[in-house]
Amino acid sequence: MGREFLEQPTITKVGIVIVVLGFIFNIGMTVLSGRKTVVSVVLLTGLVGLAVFFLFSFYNPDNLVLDKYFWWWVVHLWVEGVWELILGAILAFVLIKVTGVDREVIEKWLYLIIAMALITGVIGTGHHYFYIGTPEYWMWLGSIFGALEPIPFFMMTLFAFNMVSRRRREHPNQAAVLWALGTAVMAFLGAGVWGFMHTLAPVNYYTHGSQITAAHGHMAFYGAYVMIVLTIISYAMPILRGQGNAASAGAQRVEKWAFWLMTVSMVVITLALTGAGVLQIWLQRMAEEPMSFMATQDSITFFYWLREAAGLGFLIGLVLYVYSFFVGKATTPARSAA
Amino acid sequence: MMKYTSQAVAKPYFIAAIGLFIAQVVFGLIMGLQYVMGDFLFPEIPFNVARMVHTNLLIIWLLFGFMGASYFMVPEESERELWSPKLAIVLFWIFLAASVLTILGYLLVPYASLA
Ligand code: HEM
Ligand SMILES: [Fe+2]
Repeated sequence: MGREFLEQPTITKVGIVIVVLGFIFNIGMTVLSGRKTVVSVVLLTGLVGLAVFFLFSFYNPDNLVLDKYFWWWVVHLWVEGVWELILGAILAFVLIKVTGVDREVIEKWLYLIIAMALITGVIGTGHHYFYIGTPEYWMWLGSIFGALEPIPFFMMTLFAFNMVSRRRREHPNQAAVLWALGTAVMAFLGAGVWGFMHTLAPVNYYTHGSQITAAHGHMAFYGAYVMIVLTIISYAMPILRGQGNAASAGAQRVEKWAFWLMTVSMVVITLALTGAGVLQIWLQRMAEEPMSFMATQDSITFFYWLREAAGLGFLIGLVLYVYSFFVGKATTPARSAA
Repeated sequence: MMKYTSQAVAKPYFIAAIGLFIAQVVFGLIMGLQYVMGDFLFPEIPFNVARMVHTNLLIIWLLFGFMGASYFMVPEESERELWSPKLAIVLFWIFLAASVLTILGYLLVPYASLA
């Protein structure tokens, strides 16, 4: 208990396990008794991995080193391991639908991406095992494999743009295409670039647990996982709501505005936190006369105000996003939105 | 048009995801303000509680999103109806109730007596 992300009381954790197992059973029975595709098998594998690693949240060793060691098995092996399979599968599904490119081509990309994700991400866990009482070989393993972790994210960017440029048709849901491309770019920036920034042991020595970490966490979670969920919602919702293949042109225009407002705001949040982080590390950890934590915080408030302003922009974007579902409800669905 | 009627179970999952997403961002903004105005909403919503709510809501709504995505995609990929749409709906309500109760617990009950 009391560990970031895993604070849920035990009863809630048990509830989560029951819900997730029931969910996986339902999905698993459907996958196994139907047509098996690379997309559905990769998705199912990712979901099973999600459930398995969550089980480590029940293991709460007294030894603080062991505690941290296994905490990362949930947190890191989720976002830089099995969740990437889920991300890749959803991205591949949407790209098959909106581009009309052959499934075989898309599946080959998906295989390569998830292979790279697992090859780099599993041992890459080591980038959390610097200077915390774990064996020293993690310095090398974590630095080297951590430095390779941006590769699968970069491949996702190449993948998405390649498939869209080779598209065989103009899908009427251009908002979904925008979300898919946006995911690929922002996941690479947030996870790949901002992750690389502090993944080498000598750098992490100074940046650990600073606002640099917060900057990276925000852009990576938004770029990869928030955006992929909004991508599939964008693709699926018009279908689920009986609007045909796409929402009206007007609704899509609002949704695209929301996309840009949220995404640009998140870029500003990340830059503000990065600015705060660089100053924080300098003043508190590198200067000749290091300042105390609180004195440091007091001298970087400009960046925190900037972050708050951008956060407000993000909320406005989100409200606009919700509003987009109520635009042009009565009109006939757009078939040819450019 | 939906290819399989059981894909419809994805809809409540997506709606819950968006609702919790909004709450997540609101708690983020509260904390952002606490960074620059230390006593904002103190002692009603202390920073450590807001932080827990912010990060937990993120994980929960992403899980709702992944589940909705799976329920939508898998029938189409598998070319058959979902094994049990009923189970999907029952689990939806259990998960939503557990999530809301846990978040309310964070906000209303001292954490030390919760966990
Ligand atoms: C979408 C994928 C990713 C997400 C969602 C993500 C998220 C996060 C979060 C939330 C933290 C902070 C955890 C904490 O201490 O509370 C973190 C830490 C870290 N991440 Fe990532 N990350 C992702 C990918 C990556 C990648 C690809 C790299 C390396 C290239 C990376 C390198 C790191 C490092 C080195 C830390 C530790 C920072 C520290 O020492 O304070 N991450 N990540
Ligand atoms: Fe990591």
